[in-house]
Amino acid sequence: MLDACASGWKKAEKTHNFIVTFGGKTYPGLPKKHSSVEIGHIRHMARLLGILDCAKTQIELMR
Amino acid sequence: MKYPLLFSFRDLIAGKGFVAGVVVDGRVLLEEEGDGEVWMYGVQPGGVAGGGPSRDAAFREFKNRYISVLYDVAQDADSFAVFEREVTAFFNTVSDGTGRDWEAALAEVRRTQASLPGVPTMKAEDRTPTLQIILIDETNSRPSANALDQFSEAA
Repeated sequence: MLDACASGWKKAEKTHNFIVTFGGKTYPGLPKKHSSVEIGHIRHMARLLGILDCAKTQIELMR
Repeated sequence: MKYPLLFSFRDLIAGKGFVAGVVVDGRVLLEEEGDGEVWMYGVQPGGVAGGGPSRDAAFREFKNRYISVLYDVAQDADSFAVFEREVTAFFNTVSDGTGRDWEAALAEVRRTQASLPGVPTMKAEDRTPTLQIILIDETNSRPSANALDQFSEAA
């Protein structure tokens, strides 16, 4: 999803989360330990990074 | 259904050679989804979310995700100044799209008088987003700084 919608995105691994950066925006709260309800994190991150319109279809496929 | 919430968290975070008090009044959008899940999407700070099978679970998970970001910052920061700078950047990241939904939800609850059972209400204008980061030492460490987490519905 990020490759398709956020070309040039970067990820940094921290103790508890991944930090995802794209287009000058940073999402620091992507959990490293995914739970069964992770799709909300993906949706919120895509919205903050400004790629939700592009990512919508792929997010729905994750359900 | 979407609800505009306010939250207040007061936490002590241990860093490398310092202890910081982090006092946040923030905004979060609570969304009850059709599949029974409840999600809380941060407006400010915007870089965090939490969800679960119930509202209480979502509250807990949102707080856990929020505090985990502060722990990550503390792990990397070599000084209080760096910690302060990075936490400020985290707090100042606003999710504009979620913020628009939050404002729309506020207008809707004001129109319909909808409320979440068991959640106190507070006028949104009375608690705007604020952040304080305090270097804690023996001169300013007092029990009066302790406070439980609070969620309120903006009204």
